Amino acid sequence: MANSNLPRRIIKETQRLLSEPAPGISASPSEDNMRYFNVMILGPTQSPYEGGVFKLELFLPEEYPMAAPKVRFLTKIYHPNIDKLGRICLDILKDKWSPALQIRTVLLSIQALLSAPNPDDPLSENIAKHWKTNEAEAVETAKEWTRLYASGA
Amino acid sequence: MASPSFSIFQHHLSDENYAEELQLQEVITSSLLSPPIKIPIHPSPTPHSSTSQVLCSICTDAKSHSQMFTNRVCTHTFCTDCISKHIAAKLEVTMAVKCPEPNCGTVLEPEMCGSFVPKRVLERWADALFEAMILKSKRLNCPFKDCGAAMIDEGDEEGVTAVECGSCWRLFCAECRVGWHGEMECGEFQRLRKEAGVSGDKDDAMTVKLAENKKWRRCPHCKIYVEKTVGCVHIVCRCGSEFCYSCGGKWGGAHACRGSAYERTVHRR
Repeated sequence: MANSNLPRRIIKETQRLLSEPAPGISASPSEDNMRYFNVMILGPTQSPYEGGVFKLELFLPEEYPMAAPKVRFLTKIYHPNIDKLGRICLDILKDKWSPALQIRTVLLSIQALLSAPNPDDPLSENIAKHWKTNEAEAVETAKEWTRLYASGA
Repeated sequence: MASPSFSIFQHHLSDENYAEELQLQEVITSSLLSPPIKIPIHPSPTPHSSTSQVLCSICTDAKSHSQMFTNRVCTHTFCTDCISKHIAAKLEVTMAVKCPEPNCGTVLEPEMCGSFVPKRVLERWADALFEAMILKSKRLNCPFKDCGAAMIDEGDEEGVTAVECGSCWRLFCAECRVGWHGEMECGEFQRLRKEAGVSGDKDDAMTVKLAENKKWRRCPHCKIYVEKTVGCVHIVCRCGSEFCYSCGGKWGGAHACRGSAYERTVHRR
């Protein structure tokens, strides 16, 4: 059963996520699998995602914390480092993962990525190109997508 | 709404763990049933604070000083169990193991950890370090099937491709990766080979075929086959070089890959 032998560390992290959530971030474990979290990140202020509520899923693999959590956006988002399947190009989710990082730090990094898109390390090639050639227009599209898909309604 | 059941709470646990889990259960249940309410959580008493124990920030367990690992370069400490698991996990994906503290960058050395890392991990680590060293230079394997020894291509003299294997002492061509083809030029040899329809040996051909079927990619630098299971297409290989899983090309600031056959496959599923 998925919840048996849940390491103490996961229990502690979950406790803290629920009792002291980071601003603009909520993460709660699923009822039937304590390794699966439903996550919501509010679009940071002064970013094209402001006002949006973005749903993500986060899964702690068996090897966690020796392996990174698996995170994916469920809400459609126009961002050069996030592709249409919601996959995120973020170093700490891959080679820069360290067991000293936590679910909280991962989610904060994703929130920071929304504030600072990095078109030089693109995952969505078209979006990155758009961002580099006409940033104002790309930002407008991102705002539009936020209204369309992340309004929380 | 179905009432949540938490099987973890039904295990036999120490009193301390049990109390902690009851707390968690309370918090989770209330967070599931209603919008966030501020639940006062009593910070769990620092276990064994009177004795000289420390908390490992990775496993969050209290450990004695003798169970903690400290290296001489940085001051970050974690328990030896966690460091050992960290090393084993990192060796699966990289050749250099760093201190787990984010942004620390101190490279861990086998000498620091020999006392607590299992022998098979130490062996793997030694292999990785050797491979990393070879990769920095130009790596070469003896093409003879019964040998295959790894060596460094010093490439001293321009245009000289005849190399004698340091292990089996047979002569081979470093360019064509076959037994020495005599005085024939490499270009000529490769042309004739192509005409004759010979393309490497059977095992190689099978690997290539398998890689094609499985949609594996080859690292453009160290040539190892990589299979992407999850995540985005920006791959950081164990050798440290970066490439695109979609097109197989090197990853760079200007990486513009449009031939995303891989992406299309994923979408069709």
